[in-house]
Amino acid sequence: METGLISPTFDAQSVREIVFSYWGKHDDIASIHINERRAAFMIEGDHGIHLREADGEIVGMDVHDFGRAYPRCAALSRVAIPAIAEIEAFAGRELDERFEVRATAEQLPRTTQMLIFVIGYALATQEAELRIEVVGTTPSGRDR
Amino acid sequence: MADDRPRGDQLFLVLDYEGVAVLCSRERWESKIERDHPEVVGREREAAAAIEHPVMVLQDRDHARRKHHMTHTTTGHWLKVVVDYESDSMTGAERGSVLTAFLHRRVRAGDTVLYPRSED
Repeated sequence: METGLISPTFDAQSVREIVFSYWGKHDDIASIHINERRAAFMIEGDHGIHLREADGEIVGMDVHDFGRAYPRCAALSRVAIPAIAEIEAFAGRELDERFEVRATAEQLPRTTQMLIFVIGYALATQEAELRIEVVGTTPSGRDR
Repeated sequence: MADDRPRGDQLFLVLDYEGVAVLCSRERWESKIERDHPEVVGREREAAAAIEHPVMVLQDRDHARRKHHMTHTTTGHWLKVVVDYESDSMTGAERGSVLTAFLHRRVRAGDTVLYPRSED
């Protein structure tokens, strides 16, 4: 999974299968793997979106606050709400307990659409952040 | 280590940088964290060390009760362990539990650093 600090690429047409794993209501984390689970580095973004990058490619994402905050996020709710409804219908489960779904992109078209949209959104945001960023972090109190 | 004897489902129990006990269950580590993050398979000792002796601790951007404990891996990357804190309903004492753990390359700009403190 080792690559440099170059921006990762994403080929939307490579999405054949989706492995969706919901960690349960208390955690409210959704892990979405493209085609298969792979060791990856996380790229943290806004709205709880953590992209998974391996060998220079995006291979999935984690979404924190998937059930609580994600559908209420103005930027992403239009794709998040239909995707959550589709996943729940496919699994026959609601976002409550832990469950896992493995399906083809054709079986979960709205989820696939959401995945592609959110990855594109997060990559664009990260790209903009990298352009602005010069140094790592701001220690608490230093800028006050 | 707060107590290095594993009990039941307990994978590790350590004290964080402020002396608060943080628990990670075996079930969580193996069936959630390792399963969905294959990159941290076998890194439970590093995860415990990240909490006990962090290089850096960041405040979660969205949750006031969550902190990100970070350490360097042997491969030169960051291992981040996200800990969720709550007060014990019986004793009122604060305690933490490991929520997730993963590897990443860089620290985002703009995060609030809780440790090391700027005056340290």
